[in-house]
Amino acid sequence: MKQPSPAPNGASGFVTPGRVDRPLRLSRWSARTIAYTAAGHHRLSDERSTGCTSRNTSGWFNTAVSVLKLSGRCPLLELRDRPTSWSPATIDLANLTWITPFEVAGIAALWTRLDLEGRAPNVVLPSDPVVRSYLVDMGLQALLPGRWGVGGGSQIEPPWLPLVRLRSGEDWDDMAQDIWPRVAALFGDPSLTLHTMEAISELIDNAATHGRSSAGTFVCAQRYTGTTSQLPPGIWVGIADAGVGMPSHLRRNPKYRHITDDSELIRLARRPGVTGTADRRGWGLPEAFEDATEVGPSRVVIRSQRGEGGFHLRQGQSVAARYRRLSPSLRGTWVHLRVGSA
Amino acid sequence: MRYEVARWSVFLATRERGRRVREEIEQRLAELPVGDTLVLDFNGVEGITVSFGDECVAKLVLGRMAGDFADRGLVIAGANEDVRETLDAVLSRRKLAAISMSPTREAHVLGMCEWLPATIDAAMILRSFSASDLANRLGITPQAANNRLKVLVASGAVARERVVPEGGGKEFSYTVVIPEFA
Repeated sequence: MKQPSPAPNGASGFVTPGRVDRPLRLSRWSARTIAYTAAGHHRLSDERSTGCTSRNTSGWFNTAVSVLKLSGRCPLLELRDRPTSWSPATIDLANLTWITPFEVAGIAALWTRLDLEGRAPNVVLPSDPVVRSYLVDMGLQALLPGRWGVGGGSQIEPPWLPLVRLRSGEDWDDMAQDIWPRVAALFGDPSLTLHTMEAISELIDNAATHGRSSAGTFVCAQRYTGTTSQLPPGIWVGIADAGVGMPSHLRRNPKYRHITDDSELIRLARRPGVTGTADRRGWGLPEAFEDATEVGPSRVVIRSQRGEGGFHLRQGQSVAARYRRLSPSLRGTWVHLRVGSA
Repeated sequence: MRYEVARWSVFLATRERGRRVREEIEQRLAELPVGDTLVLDFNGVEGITVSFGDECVAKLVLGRMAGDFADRGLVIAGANEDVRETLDAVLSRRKLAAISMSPTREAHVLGMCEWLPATIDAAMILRSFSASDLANRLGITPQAANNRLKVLVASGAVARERVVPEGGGKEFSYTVVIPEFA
């Protein structure tokens, strides 16, 4: 990802909020002109014709110049380009062509966390009107400021579960009463309905219970048949929180305190009885995996702090797992779940 | 007295909800006369997660192991196969047990089985008994009988009351409180 030229500012050579004591001007970058004021803030003047750039509520940006640029298809789920920071000053969605619930929930958690810290990123909206329209249908526009336009222009069916923000685990319980019959109608099979609800619920309960995020837990879901999306069919669920993170949670247990590799802790978390609490539990995640497998071929991705686990689940076969270390550290835990074929 | 779990939802998902439901059940148990039984009615509940089951039912039984509400009964009724399987799993993991009544009035043990079914059978024959009565019936030592009774009381099938025997001192009297057999 191309970085703007750092502005001179004393010894560090980088601009930091509140520490600029003379006017600065950055070189031209990405069709925008950024002018710094003596106060250490800058005002963005967008030279694009779409007029789709949003500003934070004060109209000012942080002088930190990191940009989270999300382009192409499923950029966060696949994570082809590692970000330089999970605390960007700008989230650039301009070149996004396809977005899944994982991205939606993740962006929501990220933006909300930064907003609560007084550092709400600016958002460059998708240039593609179809993508923009889908994100309106998904409900992201209710969270991120900007001139989003209207929904209903997506080529796929409406979101199965538009973005919701759960303040507590019980918020999901309250929703389950309405969601159950929808899942039942989708599968037409009581057993598949039950396993799907159990898988989703255990993952959400983990996030809401252990994440302990003041930003809450974000959840959304989409059903794909694969015809338009070219994605594996099924219900795709995104669950994201900006809390303590799975590895940090597990390190609360003295048994795991010595483990420094976050991806190793994600691997361990799949075992029954592994918990960061003093209680005799730790079966929620293994059960979620079992339930997802019962529904049909499934995939789970768990990304937290500096680790990630990707799992392919299929009945009668061992879990195909892949782990990787990530940098920088992601605050909280983001989960992708694809269950069965629908 | 019956506690209808389905009034919360057809599907019970989270630990937080499990804790709230358990607290409400404990409130109902506190209001129950000594020797009576609370029926946890799962009719209408399509499913529960292991997290809910563990937080609600397993911890309820765990409290009974410590003596909470030991003088009143607790049984499960109306649970479908999936709910029973989940409760069986969460209770087994904690080496606990509970009694589930079938529509045909049969008592089934959920959770740790081993010697429990035979012990319940013996208790149902005796109806009201002491630890030594049970020990004689089963041909085991009084200590072994006491250990089994601790789990039996926690399961909810039997209530325990402190009595003063003729020679003085303290001892417990046990009574089967499963509704159809009490």
